[in-house]
Parts: sequence; structure tokens; C-alpha cells
Amino acid sequence: MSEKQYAFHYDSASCSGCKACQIACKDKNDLPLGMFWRRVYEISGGGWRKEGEAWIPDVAAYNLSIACQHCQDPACVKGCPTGALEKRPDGIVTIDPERCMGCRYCEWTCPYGAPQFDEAAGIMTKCDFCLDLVAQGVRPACVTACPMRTLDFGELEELKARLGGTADVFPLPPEGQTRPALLINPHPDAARAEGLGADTNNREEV
Amino acid sequence: MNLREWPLALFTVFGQTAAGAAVFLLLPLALGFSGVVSADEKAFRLGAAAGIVLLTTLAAGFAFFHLGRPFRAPSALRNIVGSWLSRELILLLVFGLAAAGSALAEWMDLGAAPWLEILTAAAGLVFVFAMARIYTVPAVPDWNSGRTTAAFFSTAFILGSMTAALYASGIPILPIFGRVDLGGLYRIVALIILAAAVPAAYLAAPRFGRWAPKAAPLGFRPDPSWLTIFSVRMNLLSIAAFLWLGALVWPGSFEILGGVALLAALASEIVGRLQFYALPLGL
Repeated sequence: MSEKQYAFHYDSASCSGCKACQIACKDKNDLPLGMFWRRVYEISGGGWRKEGEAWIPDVAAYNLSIACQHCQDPACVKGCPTGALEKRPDGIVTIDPERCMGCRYCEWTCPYGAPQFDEAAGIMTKCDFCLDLVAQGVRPACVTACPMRTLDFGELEELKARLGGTADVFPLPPEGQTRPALLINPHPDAARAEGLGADTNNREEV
Repeated sequence: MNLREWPLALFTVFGQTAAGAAVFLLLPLALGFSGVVSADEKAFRLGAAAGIVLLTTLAAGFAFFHLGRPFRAPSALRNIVGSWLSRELILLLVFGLAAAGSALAEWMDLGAAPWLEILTAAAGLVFVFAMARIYTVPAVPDWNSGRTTAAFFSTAFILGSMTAALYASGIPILPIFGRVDLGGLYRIVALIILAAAVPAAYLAAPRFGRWAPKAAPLGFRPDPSWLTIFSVRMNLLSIAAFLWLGALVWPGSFEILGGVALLAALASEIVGRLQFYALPLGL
């Protein structure tokens, strides 16, 4: 159990899907082509439904901005054979680049697709909550860049008390799986998205 | 199909073949059910153990191609407390060293060979189990079931029994205690396993029938070529079963027909394993 737990709060109901967070993260961390530590998933589904003589649209569409959730019970840390993945006392999950052997096992154990392989370096990489910025008292790059102010950052309990939220949002895995440090204000469509057969529709981007 | 994980496909298939061969070759010998002509028994045992060492070394060699930083591989043994991957590698070492020990004990006429053969076979089985546990992770619903364990043991038993039967065919075999022909027994057992594996592989395929997971993982991309490649795998396995049956019907051509059958079964298992690794990756 870490001494404190930093977390992200994300207001999916207000997110416009502009992907400024995704690009700010990529820019700040100088990520190579094709690698995104933060990804904006566009979830949509549904169709037309007949009501009496009328056909009405019955659709669900919303965005989910997802990075490493710095889980309280991180599957990546448990599974890492070299001990390169570590959960710090402030709850941030980091990868030691000197220890990682690039076996990519964390890529499979993480249900959020957070750890990503750097082909050139031969090791895994992932969001570190912008450790350097946080040390200076500045918020992570993705949070600062969001024009809609849908992303927030802070201590989990403080965020929960101030903004509430849940991580059980379709199609994310059940919260109990890894206890992510993520609080989402779900879009109203999220509750019926699964029933409408919704799915990620921008897979080529993420 | 995504071929990114070819080193792991070859590592697991060859590692499981070695473990299966250890169970079929070394265990009966260690328990005294050899049936080998006494003058050749030493050569038979030595060859079997050495062959298993060779297969295990080959498998381990393929695994290095999977790593981004292969020279850091020794550090993979650090997290034995928490990681099935560390446990798998420890068991691979135990398995390989026990097989090497068996060969050495046989070569030097040390009496410990039967115990080491039992240890090799047992370590091989636990090694296959640990391999399967690595992939039974909730984040990959298609892997997270007993089907993964069943598939890995199935590979071990199919290829292990066929390898054992072909190896035993090259050595003069006498009926055990005047009743059982060990070489003939290997052939029949391999045929039964092959015959059972064909429908089992079909029924237990991921995304088939009632085992299909409800929701795809977050980043999953469906693979339109999945069914085509699956049919290639099933055809290869069926061909292997028919050829093996033919090899039993015409014992004179056992080495040729059986050898081709083993190659077909090996190809089928490699194709199946590549599909397995492509499940969370998509195209």
C-alpha cells in the first residue's frame, strides 16, 4: 500500500474528443511515431429504432481519454519478471529503463494498454504522471493542455471527495481487477453503450 | 496474421515438445518399463536425455529473439515470488539441467539416472503448467481460461508422444516382460492423442461456440484472416493424424510416414500458436 496515491479525474461527459491531451503527452515526452502514452478512444454504437410509425436514432457516442492508471493493485508490477516496474510511495508506477529487458509481458497484463514498447530502445515505456513536472508542483502535461478542463490531477481521496467518479465505465475492465487510480464522470450514454453494441471506432488512431 | 511473436511461438512449441517427450521417453524408462535390449539400453537412455536437452536449448534460444534487451535476460529470474514468467524460466532451467544431468549420469554410469529422469519428466510438466499460467491474465479474455492450459498440454502430449514413438522406432525394442512392446505402445498412444486432439482443437478454439468472450479488450482489432488460418491449422493436424494412422497400417514405412506426420503436426501447432499470440494484437 503506497503512502499516498496520485490519480487522474476525467470528465467524459464534457470531453469533446479534441485529443489535445494525447498530443501534449506525446510532445512533452518526445514519443516516437505510433506511440501514445495517453489515447482518446471514441466509443460509439447503436442505430435506428422504430417507435410506432417513426424511426428514431438510438445511439451512444462518447470519448474516453486513457493513460496509465497507476493502479493500486497493478498487474504490470506483479507480473514483471525483472522488477523493472515499481510502485512508488506516492502511488506512481514507474519503469526502470536500466532493468527492463523488453519482454513485453506488462503489455499483456495491463488491461488499459498502458505500457508500450519502444522498438529503438528495446524496452517498455509508459506514462509516469509527468514526474518532473509534479516534483515542481506543476500538473501533468495532458491535464494542463485540456481546453475543456475535463482532466484533473491530484490525490485520489481528495479528488474523490471533490469530484466523485468511477472507473467502471464501458468498455473499461471492471474496477476491481487492478483498482485503477482513475475517477471518471461518465457520459450519460455510457450506461447503455454495451446494450447498443458500442465499440471503439478509432482503432487505427490508438 | 500478426507474426510479431514468432520467437515465443517457437519457444513454447519446442519447449512443450521437449517436456512431452520427457514424459513419454524418460518416465517409463525411469520406472523400469524399458523393454530395450540391454546392450542398447544405455544408448537409448543417453540419446533420449540428450535429445531433450537439445530441444530445450533450441526452445530457449528462440526466446531470446523475443527480448528487446536479450543481454538482460538473467534478471528475469528476480521476481520468482510474484511473476509466473520468472517461475517459468526457473522451471525451464531445472528441466534442462535435470535432462542434462540424466544424460551425464547415464554416460558416466552413475546410478542416479532414473531419479533424474523422474525429476526431468516432473519438471517438464510443471514447466508447461507455468507457461500456461503466464497467459491466463484477465486483461486478455481470449487467453484467460483453462483452454490455454489445455492447449499447452495438448501440444506437449501430441508432439511429445510422436517424437518418442519415432525415436523408439530407431532402436531395437523387446516386449516388456514378454508382454508389452514399448515402441508399439508409443505409436498407439500417439495415435489416440492425435485422434482426440483434432476435435478438441476445433471445439476449444477461441471465439468459437459458447466459450467466446463477451467483450473484446480495449485495443483489440479483429483479424479477418482468423478463420482461414485456423482451417490451415486444422487441416495440418488432420493430415498428421491420417499419416500416423497410415504409418501404423504400413509399419515398413513408419519412419517416413511418421516423420512427415510429425512435421505436419509441428507445423499445425506452430500455426495454432501464432494465432494464439495474435489474439490480443489483431492484424
